[in-house]
Amino acid sequence: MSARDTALADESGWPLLPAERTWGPVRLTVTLATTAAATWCYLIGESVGNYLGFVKGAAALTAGCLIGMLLVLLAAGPACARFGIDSVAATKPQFGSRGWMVPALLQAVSIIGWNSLLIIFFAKSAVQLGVALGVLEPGAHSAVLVPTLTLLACGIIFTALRRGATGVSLVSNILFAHVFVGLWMLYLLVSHRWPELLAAHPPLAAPDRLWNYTTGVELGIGTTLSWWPYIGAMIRMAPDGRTIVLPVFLGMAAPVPLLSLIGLAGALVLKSSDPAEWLRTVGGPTYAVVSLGFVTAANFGTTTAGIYASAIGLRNFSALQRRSWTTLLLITVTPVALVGIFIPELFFAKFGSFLALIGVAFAPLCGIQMIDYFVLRRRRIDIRAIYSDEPGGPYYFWRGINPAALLALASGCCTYVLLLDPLSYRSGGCYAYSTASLPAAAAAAFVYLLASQFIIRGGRGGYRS
Amino acid sequence: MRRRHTISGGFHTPTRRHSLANPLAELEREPFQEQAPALSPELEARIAALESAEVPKDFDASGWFWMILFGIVIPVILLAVGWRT
Repeated sequence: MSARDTALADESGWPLLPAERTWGPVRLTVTLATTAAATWCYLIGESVGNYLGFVKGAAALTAGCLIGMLLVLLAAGPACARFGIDSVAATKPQFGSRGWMVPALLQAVSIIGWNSLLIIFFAKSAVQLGVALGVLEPGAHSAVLVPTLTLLACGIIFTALRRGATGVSLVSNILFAHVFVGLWMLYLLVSHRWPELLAAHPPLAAPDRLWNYTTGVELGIGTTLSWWPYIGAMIRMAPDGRTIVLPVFLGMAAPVPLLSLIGLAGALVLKSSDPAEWLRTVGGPTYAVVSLGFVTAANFGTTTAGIYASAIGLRNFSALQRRSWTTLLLITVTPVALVGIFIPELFFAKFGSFLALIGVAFAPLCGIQMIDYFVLRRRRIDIRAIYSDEPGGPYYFWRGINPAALLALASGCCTYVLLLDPLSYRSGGCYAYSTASLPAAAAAAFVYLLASQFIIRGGRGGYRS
Repeated sequence: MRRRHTISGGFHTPTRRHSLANPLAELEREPFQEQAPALSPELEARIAALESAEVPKDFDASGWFWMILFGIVIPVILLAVGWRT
């Protein structure tokens, strides 16, 4: 394959040809692991540590992450793996040749939002690292340094991603070691504080043990469901479905709960999920430096993959199909840089809630995609129709929108919010027995199945009887 | 009859491409073929190449095995063990 072909494959939103899909299981695992391991692991672990002790929390979180990964894989995996397309393009058979903009918007907001948070984390960790190494004085001007480092990081990511998916893989290969540093940190904490870990009581635990346990599972499911926007851009580089399953579970689903245990353990024993803070307590300033290096590297790798996935998602907009890869990268990187430069603290304080609300939509989205692919379409996808938005096309539905998908998405989101308020964690109904994500996915799938009967009778959607 | 772009941007009369390796892939597309709009030459060539080749499977038996193991069996075991502690 020529260099031009490689570049085209790396930067294109079009379906990849078999010869262009060259990532084997190891390369895919490394890239997915580097993408998955980031500061959010500590936040997730800390959240679980509010409700569950260490062993219960570890079991619930790991189980939840694996279940969520299964949903994402069954939803986005088939179309992405078969045709080398990204997550957004894979929604066109369900949402229509124009309705796909709904999941595209979810993807863009989710990834850009998370990237902004992670890049701010990156900059803050780098400032702390500079202080710990003695390069910067304590109380350094973070108001100036954080925006400057954000800009620098965006510049490096932009440069790396000029090489498209190859750039993501390159960054992952360089940063992959940080995953093992994270596991070493976990070992340190567990080995030094095991009795305390077992005795620790979660501070916000509800009287109902089952509710606490279910919440741990729900946090795990929700975490891996938020990989939906990322996963298509990565797995499409692998040649087929056979290649992706183990890397997705081992590279993406497994590292998140493992590294989240760092946050869980830290929150339970030392009342802080920040590993730099508790590693200083456990092992002195040297360990704190290692930890800060870990955090810096972790967020950098994830942001690189996120910006790549987001740029590939933008390729689905016809106005951007012909734009240069550099332009797409600029469109994707610029909001992240602007947030990091101008409103890092405000964003930090407020945007987490918005991201929690956005995350509600991914469970229904998975339910819709699964029922459509496996039940209604019986695993048949028209690749030509995915890239056609002309009236009369199979995925044109009505004005390019499939009302069944929008109705199902709304039903799923309502089901989720009725069962669990993602902001306050007030729950209702059967939440303690079912989680919120699983019923939301099931409700969306059921509504989609019913509503699609009318679509099929109307002869729309390219369904075959 | 619909005209198909070639990769060089020219036109030629299309000939039906049957995939002996995966006739289902051709069958899937057949009902909509006449409705397909003109695509850019590169994309058209890309899709034509995919249509004429064997479409990769989504998941094979080993894939389903790992998915059931990691996505259902291990979580159930973890949940049971975690609950008892």
